[in-house]
Amino acid sequence: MAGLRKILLVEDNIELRNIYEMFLKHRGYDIKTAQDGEESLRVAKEFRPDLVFLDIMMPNLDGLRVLKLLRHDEQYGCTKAKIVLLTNLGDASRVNPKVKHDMDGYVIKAEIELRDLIDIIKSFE
Amino acid sequence: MNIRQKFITVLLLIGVVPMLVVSTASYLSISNSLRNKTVDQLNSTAIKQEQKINTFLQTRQEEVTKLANQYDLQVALLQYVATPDAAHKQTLDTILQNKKIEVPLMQSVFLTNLEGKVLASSSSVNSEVAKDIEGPKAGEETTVMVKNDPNDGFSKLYVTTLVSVNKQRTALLNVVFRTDELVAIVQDYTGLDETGETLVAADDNISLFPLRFNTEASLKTNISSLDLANMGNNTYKEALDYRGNTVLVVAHTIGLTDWKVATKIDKSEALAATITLRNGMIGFVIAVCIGIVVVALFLTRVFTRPIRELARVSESIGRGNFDVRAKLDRRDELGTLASSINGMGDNLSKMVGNIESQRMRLQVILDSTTETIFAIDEHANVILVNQAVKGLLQADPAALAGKNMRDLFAWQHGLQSFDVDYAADGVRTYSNLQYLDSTATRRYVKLIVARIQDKAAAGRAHAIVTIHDETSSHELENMKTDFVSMAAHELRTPLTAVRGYLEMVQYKQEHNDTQDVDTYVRQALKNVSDLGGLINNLLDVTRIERGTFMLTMEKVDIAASIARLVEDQRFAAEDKQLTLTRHGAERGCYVVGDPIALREVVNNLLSNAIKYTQPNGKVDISLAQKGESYSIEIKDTGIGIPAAGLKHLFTKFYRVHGGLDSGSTGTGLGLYIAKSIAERHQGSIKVVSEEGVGSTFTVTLPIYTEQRMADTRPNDETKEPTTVRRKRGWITKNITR
Repeated sequence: MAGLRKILLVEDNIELRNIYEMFLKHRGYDIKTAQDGEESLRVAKEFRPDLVFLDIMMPNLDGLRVLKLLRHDEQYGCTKAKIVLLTNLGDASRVNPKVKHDMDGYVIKAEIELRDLIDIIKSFE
Repeated sequence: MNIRQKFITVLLLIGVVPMLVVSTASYLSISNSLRNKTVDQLNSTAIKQEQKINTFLQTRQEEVTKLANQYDLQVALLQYVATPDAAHKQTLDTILQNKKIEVPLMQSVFLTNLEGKVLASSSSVNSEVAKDIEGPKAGEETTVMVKNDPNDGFSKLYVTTLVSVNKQRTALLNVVFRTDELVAIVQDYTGLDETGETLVAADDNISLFPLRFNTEASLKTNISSLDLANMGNNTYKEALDYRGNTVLVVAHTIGLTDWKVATKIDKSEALAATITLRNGMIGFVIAVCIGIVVVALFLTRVFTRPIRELARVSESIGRGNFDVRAKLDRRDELGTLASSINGMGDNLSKMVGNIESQRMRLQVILDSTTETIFAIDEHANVILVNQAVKGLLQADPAALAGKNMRDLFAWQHGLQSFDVDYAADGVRTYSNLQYLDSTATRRYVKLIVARIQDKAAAGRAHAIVTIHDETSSHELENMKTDFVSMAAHELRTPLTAVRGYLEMVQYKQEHNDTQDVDTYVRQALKNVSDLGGLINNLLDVTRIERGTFMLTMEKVDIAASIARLVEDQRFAAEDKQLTLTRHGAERGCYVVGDPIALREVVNNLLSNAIKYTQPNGKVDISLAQKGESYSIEIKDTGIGIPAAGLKHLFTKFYRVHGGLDSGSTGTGLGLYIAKSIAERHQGSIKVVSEEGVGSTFTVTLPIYTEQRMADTRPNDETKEPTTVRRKRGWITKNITR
């Protein structure tokens, strides 16, 4: 796949959202953000991202439900997009198999460095 | 047979048997003597009459014998025998006619030869009669007969004697007498009462004279039924007479003849007195029996009434009515028995009362136990269960009796269905069993099946099943697990931010770009501070739990604290496009409290309000005096709290918006700590909330007074001699205070 440029970042923590957005922007990615589940659906519908970084724990609509909708509902145009879950809970081994099937990656935020995000994106190319 | 019947029977036996014996004996003796007397009377009459008859006959015989020996008769007879012509016959007839006149009773007299042919007579003689006359037998002088006279139809007495001339048996002299005198003798019934009579008969058993009850029957009446011929002189017997009546009869032989004289009397008359006596006695015995029964009834009534009363009382007590008492005011054995029974009733009542109260106590213990306890039989059917089962099955204990455990609980172990062996020996413990209760709530229990060893004492019960509901501790366990995950998550979030900022700084430095580096470093430090705050929160909970959460009380201006906190949070509120407004005084509202702890309370409520309120919402914080207290009100237009969550809101680890999967964050500790702190300040914290509308938290703290300040200090000092001055991140021992 040639160059995933359009990235949607869904993160309720404003600081993390700012840091990730800033970092990815510096690296030249076309990035849009959303601060909760509902907003993420709205943005995705318009933006049609190639890749979504999706926080799990968010008010209004949590990340797992958003994942399900993005993956299975055509109207958001993300059924083919790469979706990487962001969390600070537990580890990848605790992820529900159904969720595992729908997602493309799983990131524990406290465990990665910023540049790991680039590696994650590149791994899909 | 009850006592009464026995008593009556015994009395009857005692009263009636001797009386029967005595009266029978006296009856027999009386009737015997009467009989003897009757027999004596009969005998004496018979003897008298026999003598009269005998005398009569003897006189007649002497007359006839004398006649036969008269010389003129013998001469004339001799001449006639020698020359039986008419002249000699005439002579003889004349002599006979003369003789007849000499003897007054003589009716006629005639001579026959030894063959019965009439030789001469005083009057005409029926030759048929003469022919039947039997002469005296050898050795006898005369014969006596009674015959019917064909001429007049009357009975006549024929006396015949042998006439011997020159010692030659020559002829028979026959004299016919009237029987009037004999009949008169026989018909003299003196001493024979109304039914007695005299009978005279020869061996042929034909009555010779008219009878008292059959005057026409002379010489015709057969009296063979009496069988007189075989009777001795001094005996009597009972027999049927010619009329068919039972009679007492005695017989005597008349010496000169073969006749028997018998006197008889109807038994019914002779023994009439004994019959009267017998009837009287029977009547008497019956009367006595009736009397005995009446007396016995009365006596048994008198005697058995108390016994029946006692029986009734014991029966009542036996049926379980312990309040019944016998009311017998007696000093005898029955009185003693009555008081024994009453005492027994008292004791039983007391014992049953004791047993009942023990049972009640056991029931209360059983029912106040939080564990559900079943007694089951060998087929796992419920015999008994305590009240705690209501929590497990939402069912009344009484309604469960007889149901099978397998129908009541569908056990699962690790979500697999699981079969509990209720019939196993010994004690089996099953941990972590689950089932769905009637409200489809999953419950976690520990189950212990203990086989009852003492079968005799247990009766039907085979095993005791104890179920310990661990659902709430299981939930607590889940909450703790959630808490650990949540704590990790919450700690990681600022950590991630710190890392991110630092990486950004590093990135900038690598590109020799200093723009925004200051901001990143400041933000990194703020997150480090948040991290520290979180860790302190966790420590605070531990301290509250252990009771070592120390407050340092001083005069605190709560208004100033609030003003400062609002300014601190303003950035976060504006970032969320919220309107944060403060109302009330800016300074000068004093309370007694720990400034750091109070800041934590207000800060926690304020950040929650911001966190749970949507962009463009409003958060208002106000301070007002309410009586003796200050009231701090934090009101938001946020998502609110569901009604079900309100009561758990201040519980440790409780999080309104669900667990990890719900997407909401927080340790569930903030409100718990806030409440603990408020209460330690003699204050309170309350919440009013409506889902979708917003929440209002109100903290109340008592207004500062010198007295209150003085009250708190010694208290703290006695509790904690070495007061610890606590600050965020550092402590010193405050020796001077």
